[in-house]
This record gives sequence, structure tokens and C-alpha cells, in this order.
Amino acid sequence: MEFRIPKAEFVRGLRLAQSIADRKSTMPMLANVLLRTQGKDKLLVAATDLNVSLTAELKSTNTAEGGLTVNAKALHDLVVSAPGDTLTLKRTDNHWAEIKSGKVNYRIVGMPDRDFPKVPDPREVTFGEVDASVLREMIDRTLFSVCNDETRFHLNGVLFESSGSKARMVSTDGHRLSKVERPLPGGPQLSAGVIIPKKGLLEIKRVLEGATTAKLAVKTPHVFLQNEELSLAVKLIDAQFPPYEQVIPKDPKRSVVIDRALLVESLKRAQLMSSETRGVKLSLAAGTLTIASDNPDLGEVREEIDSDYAGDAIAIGFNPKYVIELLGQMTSDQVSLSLGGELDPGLWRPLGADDYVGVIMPMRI
Amino acid sequence: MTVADVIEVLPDHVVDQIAAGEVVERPASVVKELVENALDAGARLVTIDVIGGGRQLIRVVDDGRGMTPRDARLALSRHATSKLRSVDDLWGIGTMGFRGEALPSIASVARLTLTTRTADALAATRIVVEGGRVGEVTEVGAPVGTTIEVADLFANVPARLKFLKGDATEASHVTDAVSRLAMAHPEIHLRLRHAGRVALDAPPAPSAIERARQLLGPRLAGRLHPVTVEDGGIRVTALLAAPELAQSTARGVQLYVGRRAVRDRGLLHAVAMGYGELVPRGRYPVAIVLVDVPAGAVDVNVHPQKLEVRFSDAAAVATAVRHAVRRGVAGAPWLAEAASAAPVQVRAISSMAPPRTYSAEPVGGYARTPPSSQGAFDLAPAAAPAPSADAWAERMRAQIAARAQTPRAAAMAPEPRARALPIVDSAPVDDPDDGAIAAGQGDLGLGTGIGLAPAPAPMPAFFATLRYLGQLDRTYLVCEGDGELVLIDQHAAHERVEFQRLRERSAAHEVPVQRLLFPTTIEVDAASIAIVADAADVLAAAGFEVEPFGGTSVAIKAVPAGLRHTEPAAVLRQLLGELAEVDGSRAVEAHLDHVLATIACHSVVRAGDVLDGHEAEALLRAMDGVDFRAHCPHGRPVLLRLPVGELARRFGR
Ligand SMILES: Nc1ncnc2c1ncn2[C@@H]1O[C@H](COP(=O)(O)OP(=O)(O)OP(=O)(O)O)[C@@H](O)[C@H]1O
Ligand SMILES: [Mg+2]
Repeated sequence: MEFRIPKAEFVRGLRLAQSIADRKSTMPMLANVLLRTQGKDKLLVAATDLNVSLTAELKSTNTAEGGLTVNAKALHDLVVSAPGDTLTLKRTDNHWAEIKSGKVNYRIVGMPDRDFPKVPDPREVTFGEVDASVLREMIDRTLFSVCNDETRFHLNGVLFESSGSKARMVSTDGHRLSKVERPLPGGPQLSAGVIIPKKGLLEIKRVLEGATTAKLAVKTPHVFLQNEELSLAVKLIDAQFPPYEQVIPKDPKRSVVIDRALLVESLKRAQLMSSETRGVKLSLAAGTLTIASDNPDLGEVREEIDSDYAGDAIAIGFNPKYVIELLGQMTSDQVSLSLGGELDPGLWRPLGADDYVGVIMPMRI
Repeated sequence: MTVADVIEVLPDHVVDQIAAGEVVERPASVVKELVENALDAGARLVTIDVIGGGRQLIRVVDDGRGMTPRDARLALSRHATSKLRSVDDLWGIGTMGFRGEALPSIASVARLTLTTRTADALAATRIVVEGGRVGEVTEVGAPVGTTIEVADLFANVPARLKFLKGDATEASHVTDAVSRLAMAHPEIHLRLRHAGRVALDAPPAPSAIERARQLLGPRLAGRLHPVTVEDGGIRVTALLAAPELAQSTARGVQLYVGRRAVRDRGLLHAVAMGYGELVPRGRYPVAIVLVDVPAGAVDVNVHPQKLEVRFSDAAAVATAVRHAVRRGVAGAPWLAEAASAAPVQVRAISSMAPPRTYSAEPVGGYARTPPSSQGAFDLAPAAAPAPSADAWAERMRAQIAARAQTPRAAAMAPEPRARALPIVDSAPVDDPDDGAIAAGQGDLGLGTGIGLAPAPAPMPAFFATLRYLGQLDRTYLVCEGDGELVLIDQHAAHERVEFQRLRERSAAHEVPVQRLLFPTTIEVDAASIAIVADAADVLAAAGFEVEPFGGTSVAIKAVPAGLRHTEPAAVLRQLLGELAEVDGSRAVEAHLDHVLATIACHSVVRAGDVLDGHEAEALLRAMDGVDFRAHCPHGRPVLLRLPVGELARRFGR
């Protein structure tokens, strides 16, 4: 096997490959990236941790066909630091890779490509073209409330529902939930939602970087994403997502509209004063919202914000981190908070046309 | 949509390829075959009723897709199956059944009644088969799904009957069989009753370890350490028990391959090898090992009761299992526990008397050793005089007395304390935005809350006077004290601090509680249900809002907000198990302390957590606020002291 490739082209493929390649796996092969010539002018670059797989079809000039795997990180670092604008890579006996760039010659050890796990082939799926920025936005607005507790794997990802014209993403960690809906023409037509794991979404975001459109497909058990020569296949979480509609309050009794920036700043101040496990208290009374927290080790803070509240007085505790993270994903100047009782979920919404809601369970403090 | 006929009779050349032999050996094999059929039919709930150990009656009811009238008849003839068409299908078969043998085999040795209905049929089909003779087909009303009743098993085969054991033994074989099916299929709800009494009720579980909890109870399952390793397409999930539970037979090892319970000497050996030296030769660990191999890599058509399989690459599978078990064992918490009980440390503990001298009663296990052996490390050629525990005690006593005179500076103090933590003055200034808004807002609480709070006079304190040197093995804080080296177990120390704090908050009804969006339901045993009812107040005072949820389920509606490391459901299970064990008449306070101690344990830093200097120093300061006379949470020692003189002696100075 021997090919010549522009350095910039190679780096594009290797950058993502090395972030996916799994160095900690007990399977050493997973730390490697697969390089395989395809015809005369294409190089297949693939990496996988068995859950997320990347394949890139790069432009190259192939002089001898074949394949090889080499350590992804080492190859990436080496190529990045190579002096020339193009590199040639050649497989020699015993799976060594010989790389030439400018006046520099490298030799690194490789492993045979036949031991590389089979990665899902994007050529076998039918893609639809979607707006990359919408997809990115939907991911950002749900990723933060994904559950990180590995024992609850059905919550370790974002639920993705898509009709072909509209899409919805929902995530919950059991304490809070976020749901966003957007028109997504070109999206897959799914009869049921699929759960995309967090790690996969992070990689999807990377692949979406700088793209205006991307190609998307779901073919169980994978979701596929393609941006030009880069394709990602993410193994879906095979589990039942909880019935999220049931926990989004339908018509809470009380409602207040608050200036988002003001509230966030105030919560940040209150957060400083709440130990990790203590919440902040929001007290609503006619015309005001009071935000207070105290920590026996530190002290206390109270802050009043004007509000349009007209209902009866109520006080409710929240983990400030949850509220701050949620409000950080909203863009409107004003947000509304709707409440039932002090032990019922709080419903947060941006004011305006944005189809986004957050539900946060209160703390008793 | 109409449901089509799907069953076909296998051609002879396929039949010839199928492992022949006795399908039905005892009632448990009937139950296994019928439940497997239900699973293959897509059932979500399978209810099994057994009377007389299965000899009198076995009834299996499922909510699967049912059969058309034509299929129902055909299902009872030999080699009629919907699951296999050609010999090629045999490798990598995805269903539990494939031969079309089970129903006719059962029908030939019992009276079998099949009642089945598909979703689009108006009525169910009922067929009775007696001694292999298919009776007439009737239409009856029944829900969608299939019910099979097997009565008078082996009544017509006296030779078989002779081999059966007593009803209770056969019943326990049935329970075993159902339990294994449940383990292999955690997403299915399985219910087993013996003569109407619930023997097993396993609703869908999200994971293998959850399923194990349902089946084994929280006590044993709590001792299982789960690990999943995927290697070369072979996926191994192992639930590993601590080595001290090892047995002299292999009965404690459950092996599953592709969702079938199997016997396999190679894999059994691999599991034992994975434990290495921890389990002595000739003994077997207790472990549940679930193996999944790529389709086509395993042949299930080997044994007439499908109790064995053949791998295309048995060595690779054994290696994968051995690796997974080894990896699980290496990371298991019980290994660390065992290590901490090793002789070197036990001896070191004897020099940790100081805090101990305050406990009212001698604490078992760490009883003070004679002075001559105090402070001895293993390497010490001769024991040196220990740091005087009495002198230390003297100092602590003085400190506590001094503290009693100053207003108690703990969580219950009415005034907020201005103690420590640089974050107080630096944070708002660090963040220009905060500062700006604070200035414009006029009456923000920041100034009033903290700046003006009277600072209590610094107290003479042991821990605060220590100079923190660094962290050892991410587990111990290494400090320099007055003429001595002080090692502090970070987890044990933080645990005591947190325990005390929780106690104080609980007394003030201030334990922070996070409510849950979706009540989590967990399955527990009957004893635990009683605890939930009896000790609801105690649990609520500690932050757990729980309710019995019918049967052996408990709904969790809120959890202590402090729990950091462990899933709250797991902590609750542990608590219920432990509370069920302690004497029921014990005072509520004792229960509460136990609950709080457990929560504290799961809320604080652990061995292995990196602490930076600030955190370590904050912890040291907080320790001076801890009342060591209080019931200590888990009874582990907190610190070890080594006088400089002792070091000098060891260096031969
Ligand atoms: N509970 C059930 N629900 C729906 N269909 C069933 C059920 N039990 C049996 N069947 C149908 O009857 C057929 C015959 O069942 P049987 O158990 O005799 O054979 P099998 O499951 O195909 O193979 P095996 O003998 O290896 O178990 C099945 O293939 C299936 O189509
Ligand atoms: Mg069958």
C-alpha cells in the first residue's frame, strides 16, 4: 500500500479519528485508525470505539493498494508536525508505515487492517439533507440535561423524534428535563423516537462544526451523520425513554415573567452562597421575586427582583445549577416560570416564538 | 392488518440436522420451553402458575402475538415451527426455539390445553391434546396472547415419573429455571406462583444488575460488582461476588450465552481463572456472567434441552470472559475492602487510638492493643513506644472543653459564620458582571449577609494546626503536625464531617431534598416493604420520600440532594436491607443515625478522588468541628500518626 496525500486533507480526517479512537479500551486495535486505499484516488480513514465510528473518504493519489492500521494519536500528531505540504505513506514488511514529508522520514509500527472491527457503512443508508445549525442548536439545548449516571442507561442520551418536517429532542436526568422542537425538513421519518448517546452527540457536534448543511439518517441501530467527506455512525441506546409528556405540567396555577439576564446573575450570586447540595429559594409575592440562599458554613444572600407576579405568595427551592444551565440555553430577554405547588415541577419557557421548555423538579430546603 | 399463518413443517433434511434427544425431563423443562415460546412470541408479561411442583399443573400465560387457528393446530405436530426454514438458519438463530419439538413433546406426555388468540381474531382457539391425540378445536373468549396448560405430567409415562423428586424439589427446579430466564431477559416481566403463592415477580429491569437485585434480593446483589467489557465483538457482562462467598461447587456460577442459560466447562474455568488467586483452587466464585457473541459465532443446536452451546472460536470467548472477570475483580469495591483489612493496616490502626479514646464503649475489632505493639508497622524490627494516646486525648479534651465555652460554631449556630473559604470575598469581585449588577441594584444581600457577620474567634484546634503536605495515593492526606507525621483517610474524615452536618440538619428538619420528575420504582423483598411502612418517618427525615407501591415495589419520590457517588435507589436498597436486619425494637434515633451515616458515606469524597490543597485544608478545618464522641458512622479510623522520633529510629539515627 502506498499513497500520497495533501497534509491539510489528511489532518482533517485524522483530527476527528483520533478523538474517537479509544485509547483506554482493552482492545488495543481501537486506539488505531484504519487507512485503506479505495481505487486510485481515495483513502478511507476510519476509527471507532465500537459505539461511535467515523469514516472519512479523503482525496489521495494511490500508487499501491492495501490497508493498514496505526495508532491514531501518534499518526495525527506526526502528520500535524510534518514539514511538507504533502505526505506519502507506504506500508512495508511487518506492518510498518513509512511516511515521507519534505526531507523527513518517519517509521511507525502498525497492525494489519483485517483485525480492525467492521464499522457501519454509510454507503448503505439513505440520507436526507438538514440544516446543520438547527441540529447543532437542538443538541446544545438538550445535551446539558442528559443523565450521567451510567446505571440509568436509558437516560444517558437525548431522545430524538423526527417526522421528516419537524424534529424534537428531549433529555432528562430524572431531576430536570429539556425539550426543544424545530422544523427540520429533510430529517428522517421515524415511527418512534431513538435515543442518541451523549458521547455520540458530542462527536456529531464536532462533525457539524463549520457546516451549513449536513446529511442525517437513522437506520437502527445507528444514527448516521455526514458532512462532506466525514461520516459518523453512532450506536443508539436500545432502551425505553420515559413518558416525558406526562411530567410537563399542563396548566400550572401560577405564572411569572422574569428578565432572563437579571435572574441568571442573581442565581449565580445565590449559587455562590449555596453549598453543592443546598438549593436556592425563589419566593414569589405580588410584584416581587426574592431569591435567597444560605449555607451554614458561609452565610446567606437575599435579592429582590421586580416581577409582574399577581398570584398568592409561594416559595419554592431549586438547584441553582439546573436553572442557570437551562436559562443559559434560552435566548429571549424574558422567560416565564409556571408553578403548581411548592413540591410540583417548575415549568420554564422563553417568551416568544421559541419552541423550548425546561422542567425542573424542586428541592425541599 | 391480518395476522398471517407462519408455521411450517420442516423438511426432513433439516430435521436430520437437529440435535435429537429428550426435550422434557422434568416439570422445570416444560416451564422453560413454554416460557421460551412466550418470549419468542414477543410477550412482555409472562405469568406462570405451578401446582404440585408442576406434576399436577403448569399454566403459562403470555401476552404475545398468539397464533392463528391453523397455526395453533400445526404447532402441535412435530417439526412444525415458525422460527427456522433452512439448515443455514441454524447458526445465528435469534429465537429461543427453532426445532418445532417442544409443544408436541410436552403434549405426548401430559394433557395439554392450548388457548390462543391473535390481535385481529375475534375469538380464541382452544385445542386439547391428551397423550398425543389432538382433540377437537373450539372457539372461546380469551385475551390476545397464548395460554398453555399442562396437566398430569408424565401420568402416562410411569418410568419418567419414578425419576421425579418430591414436589418441593421439583418446585425449586421450576423457580430456578424461571429465575434464569428472568436473568437472561431483564426487559420482560416474569411472574411465578407455586400453588397461588408468589415465588418470583420480576418486572422489567433496566439492567442486569437491577435484575439480579430483583432475583437475589438486595443483600446478595449488593455484594455483586457489575462489569461490562466488549472485545472483538464478544460482549461480556459479569456480576461478580466477593471472593469470600466462594463455594465448593460451581452452582454459584450462572452462565448465559446469547440469552440462554448454559453449562459450559470452558467458560466456568474462565470465570474461575478471572478471579485468579482470590479464589483457591477447587472452589468456585459466585458470579453471573452473560456473554453475547456475534451472530454465526455460536451453535445452539447441540443439546436436546439447549443447555449447551458450541462456539466457533471457544478460546476467544473464554479469553474474553477471563479478561472481563479479571477486570471486574480488579475494580471491585470488595477488593479494596479486603485490602484495608490486611494485616499491615490493621496494625497501623492500633496506633490511631486518639479519636477512639472518646467513644464511650470499646469498639470491636480495633480494641486497643497493648502499648508495646502500638504504632508498629510491619517493617519495624521492634515495636517503638507509640505516640501517647493519652496525651493526645488530653489535648482533645481541652479543646472540646474550650469549644463548649464559645458559642457552638456549627450548622445550628443562629449567626452565619464567616469561617474560611476564600470564595466569599473574591468571587463577586472576580466576576465583573456580578459586580456591575450588584452595584446598580443597591440593596443586594451580599454585603449584609456576609461581610457584617461577626467572625467567631479562632479556636485552638488540632486539625487546623496541621500543615498539609500533599495527597498520597489519592486516598490519604499527608500532614505535618507538632513533631509528627499525620496521615488522614480523606474519605473517613469527610464522612464524619458530613455525618455530623447531616445530623444537625436533620434535627432542624433541613436535610436538602431533591424531588424526582419520574418516581423511580424499585423492587425489594418483603422484609424491606415492612421497613418502608414502619420507618417512613426516619427515611423522610434523612431525605428519602418513599411509598409502598403495591406488591414488593417501592416508589421513590424524592432523594437526599447530597448523594453524589451512588445512585439513590442503590443507597435506599442498601438501607432497607440493613434496617431489616437490625433489631426492630431499636430506637428510632439509632435507625436515623444509621441512615444518615449511609447517606454521608455516599455523599463525600472517596479514596481515589483528587483533592487540591484548598479542599484538603478546608476538610482539615472542618474536622475540628466534629464531635468525635458522637456515634461514628462506620467505625473506621480516620488518622494515623507517626512521631518524628519513630522515623528517626527507623532511619537508625
Ligand atoms: N406462546 C406462543 N405464542 C405464539 N406462538 C407460539 C407459542 N408457543 C408456540 N408457538 C408457535 O408454535 C410453534 C411450535 O412451538 P414449539 O415450541 O413446539 O417449537 P419451536 O419453539 O419453534 O422450537 P423448539 O421446539 O425448539 O422450542 C412455534 O414455532 C411458534 O410459531
Ligand atoms: Mg419452543
